[in-house]
Amino acid sequence: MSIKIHQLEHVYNQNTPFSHAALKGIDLEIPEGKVTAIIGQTGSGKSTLVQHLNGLLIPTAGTLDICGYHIQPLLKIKDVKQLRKEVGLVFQFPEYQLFEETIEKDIAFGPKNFGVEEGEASQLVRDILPVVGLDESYLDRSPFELSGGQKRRVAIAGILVLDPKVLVLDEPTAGLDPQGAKEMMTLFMRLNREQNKTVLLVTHDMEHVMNYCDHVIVLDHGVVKQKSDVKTFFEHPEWIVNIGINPPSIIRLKMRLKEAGFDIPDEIIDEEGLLKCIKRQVKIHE
Amino acid sequence: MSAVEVSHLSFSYDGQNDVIKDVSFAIPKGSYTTIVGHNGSGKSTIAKLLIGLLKAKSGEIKILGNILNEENIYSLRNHVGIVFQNPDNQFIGSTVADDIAFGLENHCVPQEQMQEIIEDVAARVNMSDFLDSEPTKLSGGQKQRVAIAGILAIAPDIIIFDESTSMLDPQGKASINEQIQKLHDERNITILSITHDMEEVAQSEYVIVLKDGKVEMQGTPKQIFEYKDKLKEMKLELPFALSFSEKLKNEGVFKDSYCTLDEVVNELCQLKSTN
Amino acid sequence: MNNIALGRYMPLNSVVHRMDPRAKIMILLFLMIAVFIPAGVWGYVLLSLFILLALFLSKLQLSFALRAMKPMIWMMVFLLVINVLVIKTGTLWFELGWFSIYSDAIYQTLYIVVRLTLMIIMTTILTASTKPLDLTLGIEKLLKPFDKIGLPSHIIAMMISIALRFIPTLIEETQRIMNAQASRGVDMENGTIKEKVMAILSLIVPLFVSSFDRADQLANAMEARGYNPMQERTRYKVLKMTGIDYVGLLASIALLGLCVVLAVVL
Repeated sequence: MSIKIHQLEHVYNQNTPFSHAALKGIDLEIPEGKVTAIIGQTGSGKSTLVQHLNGLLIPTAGTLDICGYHIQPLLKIKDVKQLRKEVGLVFQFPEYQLFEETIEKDIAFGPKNFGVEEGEASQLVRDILPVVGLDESYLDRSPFELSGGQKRRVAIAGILVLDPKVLVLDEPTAGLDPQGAKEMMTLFMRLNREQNKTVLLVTHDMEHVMNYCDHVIVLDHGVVKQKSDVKTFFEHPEWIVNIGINPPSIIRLKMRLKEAGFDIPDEIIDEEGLLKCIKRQVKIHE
Repeated sequence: MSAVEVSHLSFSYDGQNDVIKDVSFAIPKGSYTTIVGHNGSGKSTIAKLLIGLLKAKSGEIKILGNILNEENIYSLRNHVGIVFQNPDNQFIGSTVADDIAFGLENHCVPQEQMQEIIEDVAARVNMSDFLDSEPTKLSGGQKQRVAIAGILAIAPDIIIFDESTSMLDPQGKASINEQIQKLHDERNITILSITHDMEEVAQSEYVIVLKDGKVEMQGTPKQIFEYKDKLKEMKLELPFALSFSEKLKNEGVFKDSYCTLDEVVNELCQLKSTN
Repeated sequence: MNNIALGRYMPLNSVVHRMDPRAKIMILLFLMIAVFIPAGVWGYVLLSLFILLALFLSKLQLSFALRAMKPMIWMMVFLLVINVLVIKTGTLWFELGWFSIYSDAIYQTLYIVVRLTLMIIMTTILTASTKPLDLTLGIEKLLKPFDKIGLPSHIIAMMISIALRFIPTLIEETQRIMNAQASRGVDMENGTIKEKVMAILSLIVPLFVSSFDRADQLANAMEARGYNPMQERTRYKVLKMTGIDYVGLLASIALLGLCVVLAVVL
């Protein structure tokens, strides 16, 4: 079942002098089993939007349908805990949520909150470790003695262990080196492909959008500026440039070449196509 | 004379495992050097050693010809500034102007001169309109620009950037990289940038590659990028411009490969006009 | 968190905002002493008038100042109950079986309530009209004479200003960790004692870890920028007393004197 958002609004500190509308009339349908990117500048309302998906925030107007839950203003969500199990939210720098003495206990913390028995939780932890690329030797270690990248894996395992249907990731690769970021993205893509999880990715990295996502949603000052599939999106680089975001390198190169008089059709957004296209228009060395 | 000269430097946090192992390099005055390496290669430790926040186990560091020791560390900090990774944790003042003033206060700059200096450096990093702003109202990129202004205020000879852009969004990243380039072009400031952004490496003049606490390679970006397999093995990626020009080379379009997008575009335009 | 009035700076342009923080702190100090002098009804009338004038001059709303009282209301109610039960002197005003109310109990409570209200309004005027940094600078300058007896005034001031600087950052961080743990099924409101303890631990531990991280990085940044607590520093902000500051100081001293006289005479 897809996620349906209808005329959703969120005003912080409503009816006070500090009132601030973060989201204004959002209409969206996020398809099931796909990877959807949410992009936009800092302050565009991305984080506010994703916090509605697992009931951390309740809309001040409009409705949201997700995993069988119908969420509307002023109404307390019945069994919000179950919703949070279905929709796993990974915040930015999730390593800052670790607190237990051992990695095993920390990952098991979520399942236990949802009433899973000790033994079963322990089995779930053992099952999830290899998914994030760690082995059982980590179980008894303290999460605080790990490297930054490993800490993040443990924190993400703490959400994945709940086996959510929808996985919402708020800049999961921020601060990682390129290799670490690549491994992290590969992990999420595998979860999407093999377990058919719906993935929502809040990101600034256009290369990730291009390489990993199916759909793109652009937020700007609390409204949906653009929604499309990835291919169409990158065929219109002006959509990205208009909201002040730097397109991926390949698109930047294409734009520069077009300006310089090269004839490149819109639909070419991959390296192979661009290469062929260039080859046709330049003199080839012997 | 080199701006920074490091010879046989070793360091360990726990007294047993060296995280920096017999590292030597020299950075010419006025140059723009990047230090790259995977996470845990020791690159940030080097920055802390250079600014005297950590004490070397053995070896020596020369800053502008003076050997760094406990006596001259405070006076050498007049010449070296550093911008750290986390924009929030280096913003000390309660407003932009106060934060820029912090360094001036420490260096006992007379109060009458402060306002002029603050306005001047804020203008240089395009933060003139924000002098009274509080840090919570600023983006990460803006905070990093304030950090740069705070350092420019004491007119240092050397500025170290310790992964200063790694927590920023692409706009913030671009504005800081542009700022670095501008400082390098306009002023005779020696720039040492610790980074894992290969696009930034491509725009620098000189690269030092660290691996497991040792200098693995050093040279110009072009020389370094020759060792593709070695870089890959070290989990470092080639910049897009380079990997694309490699492909153009394979197709027989290019004779040479190029590190930056500008160079690739220029070269292609020339080939087109001769067509 | 945005509804807290006590201690919040309100950026307005008023005479009180422009006053020297040192003068404002001293005036507050004099008035605080005056509040505790038993100068009778007239003493409190005079003080209230003075404080209302200050509130008016600072362009703050009375409702804003009163909002700061909110957390105190239950304490006052509690006080009233205790006083009614304990104080059995003065005239008997009300009696029903074993329960009785004497006039002194009400007067006592009223005095305390009036004192508390006046003090909270005064403090709110100070914090709402003075930027935290200026306040710290004022405190530092006022403590300066105590340097001779070994009180490190500038270090105290630096600690206060850094604490103030990081309060918003830490509030944000707390919110983020709470959200992250809620997403792992933590319920801060319901649950058994054991679950609640875990819920609190899951918030406190990460907050401590990240705060220590921050403190470490901040110390590095300060040191790298040449901060040495043992060395002389110049200061960017200079404080200057003007006419209005002296007027305010004199007025508050006069008021304090008047209260003393009233207390002696009565």
